[in-house]
Amino acid sequence: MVSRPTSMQATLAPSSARFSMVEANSMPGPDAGLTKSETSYRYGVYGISLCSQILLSLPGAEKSDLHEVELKIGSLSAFSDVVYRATLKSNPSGWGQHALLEDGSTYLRWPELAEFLVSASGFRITCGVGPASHEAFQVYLLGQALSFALVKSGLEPLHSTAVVINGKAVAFLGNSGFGKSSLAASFLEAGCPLLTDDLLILRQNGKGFFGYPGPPRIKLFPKLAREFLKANLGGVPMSNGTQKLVLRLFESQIHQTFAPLHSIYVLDSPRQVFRKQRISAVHLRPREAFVSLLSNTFNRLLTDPERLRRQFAAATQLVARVPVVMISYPRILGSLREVRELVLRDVGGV
Amino acid sequence: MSKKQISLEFVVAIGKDVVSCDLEGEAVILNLASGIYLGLNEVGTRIWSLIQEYGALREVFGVMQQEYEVAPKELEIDILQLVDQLHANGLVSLVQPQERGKG
Repeated sequence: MVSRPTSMQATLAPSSARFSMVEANSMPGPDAGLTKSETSYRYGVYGISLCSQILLSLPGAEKSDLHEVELKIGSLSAFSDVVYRATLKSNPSGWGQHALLEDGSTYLRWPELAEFLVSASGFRITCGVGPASHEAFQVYLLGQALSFALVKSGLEPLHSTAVVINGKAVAFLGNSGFGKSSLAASFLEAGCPLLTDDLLILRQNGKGFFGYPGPPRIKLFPKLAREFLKANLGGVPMSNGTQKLVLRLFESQIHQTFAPLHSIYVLDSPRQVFRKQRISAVHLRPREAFVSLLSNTFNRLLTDPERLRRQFAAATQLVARVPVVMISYPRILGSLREVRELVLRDVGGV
Repeated sequence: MSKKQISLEFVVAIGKDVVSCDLEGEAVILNLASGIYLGLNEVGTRIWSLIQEYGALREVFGVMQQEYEVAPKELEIDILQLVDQLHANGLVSLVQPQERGKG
């Protein structure tokens, strides 16, 4: 494989030294002759480096000491062999399937969309592309599939969307459907850039915890996209399983480097909140915060003792240093801006 | 293991796959093998720390009786209920009185 970070930046970024988007559906499929290609592109996301045979809508990155994951285009025969040997199980979400293979690798499949084979070490993801849009493919590659590589590599992703307020990261934790992206969209409207949507990687150093930027896009229902992101029209449907759109963000709407983590907001389940209920924000005690963090880990399929021990240690450190707030609000459009103002006041952004 | 009638004469052993931490006086305990975790309030956390220190429930009971103003029977019930819960979640194993003598 040939790494070409410098020329890649030039190729990917005709108008910017750091950032550019690749057109949807521009990626060749596995039968397009690229399987044996030595071409590779280097990207940065979640604080790691991706060395990829596939063009992605990510900022370029130069080769560095960052942890690196290799993305390869797989042959159809490679996947059919795995499917033949594996016992597939439905994903917890009910959409897609997975198999934890005997050699420690993981097979993932979303029909008509994509399939992935994540190596036991987490250093390589072999990708198979379905007929769906390239944007949708990237959502699954850079979310679910990459989460396996991150966990296997010793990193601990949180199920979180994060925005940046005056240079400080604020993370929203919650299960799928709890409204993380919707709340983040209201911050985009107010000029606060997105750090990441759905998957958050944190790292700790002597100065505290830092959140790392995810892909420069957000997944939103059309109604919320029209409400908060009028300038970002033209989103691409994510998959058959949801009406959500994948919306690319402008450079001014994303935070392109790591940011110190200011606070974590755990979103209460929508089912626990009545439409006329008042918005409330309660600081969680360390034990409650700890349990919330463990409950909102990204990727619950890998549960080996080593990972659980790591999660336990990470959560202990996190609750000792970062305030965790449970926030409850009715899931109506008007309350999102109210919640935003509450958070902005908390963070000192207004 | 069949359901045991736990008494203060039992000795409690913490599983080798179990880790715990103290978060400002409240413990969280995790079984690394099963992924089950349990949070304890302040009193439960004190009992847990004494179990870690002594193992023998009679010893735990004695220390708790000195530290808390509580009726002995009530304290005994609280300790045994917590141990039962820990045991049911695979976080501790129990050694019966007659088994202790065999050692």
